[in-house]
Amino acid sequence: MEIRGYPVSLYLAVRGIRRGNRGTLLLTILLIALMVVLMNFMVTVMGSLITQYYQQIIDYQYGDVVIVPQDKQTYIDNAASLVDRLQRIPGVAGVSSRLTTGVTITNPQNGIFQPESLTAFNPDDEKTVTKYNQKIIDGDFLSKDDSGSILIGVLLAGNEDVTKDKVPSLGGVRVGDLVTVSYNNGVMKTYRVKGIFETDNTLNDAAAFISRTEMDNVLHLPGKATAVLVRGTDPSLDPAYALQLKYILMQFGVQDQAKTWSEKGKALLEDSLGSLQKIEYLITLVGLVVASMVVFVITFINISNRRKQIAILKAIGIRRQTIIGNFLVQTFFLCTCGAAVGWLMLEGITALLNLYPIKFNLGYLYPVIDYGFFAISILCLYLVSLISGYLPARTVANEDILEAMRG
Amino acid sequence: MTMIEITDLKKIYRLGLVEVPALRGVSLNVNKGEFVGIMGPSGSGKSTLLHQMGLLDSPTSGELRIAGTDTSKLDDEARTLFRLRHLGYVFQDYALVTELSVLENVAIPAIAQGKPLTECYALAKKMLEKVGLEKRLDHNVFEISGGEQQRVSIARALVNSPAIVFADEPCANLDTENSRIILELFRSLNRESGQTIVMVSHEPWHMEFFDRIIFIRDGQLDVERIAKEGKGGAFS
Repeated sequence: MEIRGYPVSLYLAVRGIRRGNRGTLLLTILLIALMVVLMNFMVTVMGSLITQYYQQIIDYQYGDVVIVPQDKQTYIDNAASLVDRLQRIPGVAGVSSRLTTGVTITNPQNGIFQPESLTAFNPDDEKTVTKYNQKIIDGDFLSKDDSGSILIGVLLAGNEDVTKDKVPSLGGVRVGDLVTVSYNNGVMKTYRVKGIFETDNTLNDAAAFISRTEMDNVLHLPGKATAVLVRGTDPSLDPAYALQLKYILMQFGVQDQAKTWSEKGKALLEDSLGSLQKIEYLITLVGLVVASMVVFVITFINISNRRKQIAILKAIGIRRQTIIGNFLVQTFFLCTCGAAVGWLMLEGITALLNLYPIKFNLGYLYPVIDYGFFAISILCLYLVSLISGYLPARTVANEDILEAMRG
Repeated sequence: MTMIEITDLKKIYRLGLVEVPALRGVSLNVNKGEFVGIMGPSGSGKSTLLHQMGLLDSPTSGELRIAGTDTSKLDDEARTLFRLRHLGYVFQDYALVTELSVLENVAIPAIAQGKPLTECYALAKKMLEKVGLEKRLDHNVFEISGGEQQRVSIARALVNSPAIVFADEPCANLDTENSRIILELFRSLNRESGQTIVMVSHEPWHMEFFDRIIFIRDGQLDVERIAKEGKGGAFS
């Protein structure tokens, strides 16, 4: 007669779970759930940070594609005609030509000065590429013909009490205040602060902008640009989209160096995110090790407490594989419940953090669960847990019947 | 028909470097349908002999044939299946699985044989009726008395219609009244169904229930006492 071992395993496991210690069962599920959260939370946060970082690069620094001068060139010549051409290319939503120069900005009220990069743009064009115009917290955005106005970031404006500043500031500049800008050609100009912006990004919020008209009056570089930012029609964060846009621009005869936001920010991305990803992997690994240890210890204690029961089953003719299978089914059940509870906890934490976001240097954190990674982590959890459940089960199932029955 | 044939069976336990002989060359036969009692003083080797016969342990040397099968040729897996198909056990401490109900405890050996679950439960119910526990089917084992637990254990031992039932001091934890119920149950199973039963006991008043008594002393058959009190029978 055929001996069907695994249904017997299932039969024993179901009854073991139903009639076993409820407290231990719930505690085990909770512990595994916490391990699932531990393994995935960092990735969830990191994913959100990376997304935020990408969005910031696109929205405030480079657009989807940035055109920069050829090697050994300081400027893009004929930038105005390049902008005209780019604006006519299908798939291009906006183009902004920028001219950046090094200056020293001084707050005459307190004498505090800061060396800064001052960028000039056509405000109307800039609105089609970046989002500075949507981030004005005081005053107004620049207009095309503004000649005595400057737009500064909230961190550069700073606080009167400079000890409260995150970065070197002008010590508390407000809308309407005057600041002095010293250009590297010796020209010194006084501008009224027209607006203050806040993007929630430390790098952006320490910047300053004037209109292109004004900078042309000072530097006399008409038609030249240090960068031309291009924004596509699709608000995609996928680097492949930006690359596709870049190739389209090149097909339309753009001769200067076109780089996607990810190419341009690659070094920075690798530097800042690479080390964080290592930490992320380490935490995941620690989570897996701890989870497997938890399952091992719980299974070991569970099995050690049932040595006599196992011996009884062996004595009456239940096969070793059936007994091991019983514990594997129980481990599988615990993992499944732990994974489900862990997933619910992770969803809960994520929802809570989206409702009450935490502010980071890159802006507010809106965590998003990486379901691909979640699936991998659960598979790993099952694997290590089943191994951790199998080893003590096999050890006890191999024990001498009479010795185990004596306890 | 000979059910168990034992020839020069020895069992030596090793405690570190010390060898402790528990059985010193036992030879005996048990016939089909016999109710055999194994008796002797504490430490005489009676439980060790029962464990060898029940394939719960392996002898150091000697030959053990059960229903014609040379058990020394069986590997661990084959011994497990042999126990499941041909042997039943009743232990001193009942040895029930606490996570299973009364009915499930009895049904589990049948389920392990691969029989349909409904058939297993029907068989288990029949066995529990036989031992007078038909009203306790869904109880947990810790909800019933010691005597009832031992009857559950007997029902479990019988559910696969084994060739032999081994009972290791099944009344040791029971009072006299419950012990008598258990012994009478064994007696009636033996009488009515022709069930072969081998039982270890150290209580002199149990002797009246056995067909034959094998006395053990210092790991050997106590031939003198067998001749005097053993109710006859063939021993080798």
